[in-house]
Amino acid sequence: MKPAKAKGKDKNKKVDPEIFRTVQRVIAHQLKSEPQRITLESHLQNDLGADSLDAMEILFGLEEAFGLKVPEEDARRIATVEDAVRYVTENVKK
Amino acid sequence: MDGHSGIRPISSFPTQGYRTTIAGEVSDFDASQFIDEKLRDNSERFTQFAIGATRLALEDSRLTLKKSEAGTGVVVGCGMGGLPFFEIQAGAYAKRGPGAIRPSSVPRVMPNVAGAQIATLWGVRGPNLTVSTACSSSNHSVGWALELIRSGRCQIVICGGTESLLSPITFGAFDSLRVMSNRNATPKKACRPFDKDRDGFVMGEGAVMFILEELEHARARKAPLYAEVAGYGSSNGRSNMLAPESDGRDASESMEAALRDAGVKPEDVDYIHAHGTATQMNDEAECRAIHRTFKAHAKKLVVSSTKPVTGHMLGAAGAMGILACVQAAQTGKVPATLNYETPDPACDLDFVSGRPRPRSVRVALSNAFAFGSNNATIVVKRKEESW
Repeated sequence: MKPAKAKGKDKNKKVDPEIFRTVQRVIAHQLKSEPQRITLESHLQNDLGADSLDAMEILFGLEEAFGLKVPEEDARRIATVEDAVRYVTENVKK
Repeated sequence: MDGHSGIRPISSFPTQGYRTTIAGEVSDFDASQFIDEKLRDNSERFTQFAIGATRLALEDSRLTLKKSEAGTGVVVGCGMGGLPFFEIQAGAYAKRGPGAIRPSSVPRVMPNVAGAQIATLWGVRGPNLTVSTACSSSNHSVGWALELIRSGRCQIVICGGTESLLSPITFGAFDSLRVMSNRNATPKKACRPFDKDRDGFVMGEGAVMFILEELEHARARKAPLYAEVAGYGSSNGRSNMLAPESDGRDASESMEAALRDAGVKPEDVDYIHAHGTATQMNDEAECRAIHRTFKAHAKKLVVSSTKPVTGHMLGAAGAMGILACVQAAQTGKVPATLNYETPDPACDLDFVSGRPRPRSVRVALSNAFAFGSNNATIVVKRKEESW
């Protein structure tokens, strides 16, 4: 139960709508999908159909859009849109 | 075949400062006719051309490939792949460093991505080869497609060639070699194979793809049949990276190997679609080679080059020549060599010029010779009545 609780707690954290919209736009651009289809819960591969190259291009797009450099160990942890938004939120101002 | 030249000033990039500013640019290609938006935005023009040509060939052949086709293969000729995209990455790197290089660069640039996308789109699970021997690439590709069918490895091979190199640095590399025509003011007159006043080739782009199929397999499914790919020969010259052997020996050996492979005598050949680039050296050496191989018959057969119409399609040039041979065999009309006006004593053969010439063509040869002294010849035979 503990992990679920932790997850729930994280979810309550406020999502910056501007960051979310930019992440949505980057993903939509690469996958040619409607931005509305891309929700916080969407899994890049399982829900949105991204292949491994799409995932690389999405990371590249996020780096460009937010002026980030995503290290390999962090890149591996980004599987959902929420992961991406959270990563950007935590790192963009550092 | 009608002989309208598509050579005009380049519009893909600004040409100020280049010696040559004209090309056979494909101006009305809409990739979205053939592929979805995602693939369109993630692939290069040479890949898009190859996919488009493959789709048209499959439709024409009334061939619906089922998923998991193991007896089907793909062989694509391509000289330099997606270098234009690499140029864009080089520009981004120069401005912003290594972080600016797109991850999709490798699978966009590699020459075998055209064949890979074809196999992915149509579920081909058999062999998938890319032959990269510059301007002879697609004669080799059709030659190896023939080998795959003869050996029983495949019943069907999607084969041909593709190229698109009209970008500032890649085109500039050819420009600096001084091998292209400088007749920028008269683009349609610029490419003049075998003419005394020729001054180099004109670059083209595009793809030509065929469905090569084992005869009984094709007959069983009532496929439209056009001609037979009857033989393949190749050779290497020992001259240097850019010039053919001036006595034509290497090109002659390529034609002779192809004739032997097809079981055809030199005197049976009616038509040669020459490599005929309109460079000084190529055309002269090719004529010597034809004399070496065909001796007295050299002046009885007819020769032409369609490069003044399309430009030199490099990795797709051989396949374009094979297509000209197939059309000549099928229609009984040999395409003309546009701009052949002033005979050159060093090129003394019967060139079809002006307009297509009626001629019964039972056996035709397509020559393709490349930088690197790499030569390949394909023998095409007319469809038999008994098929």
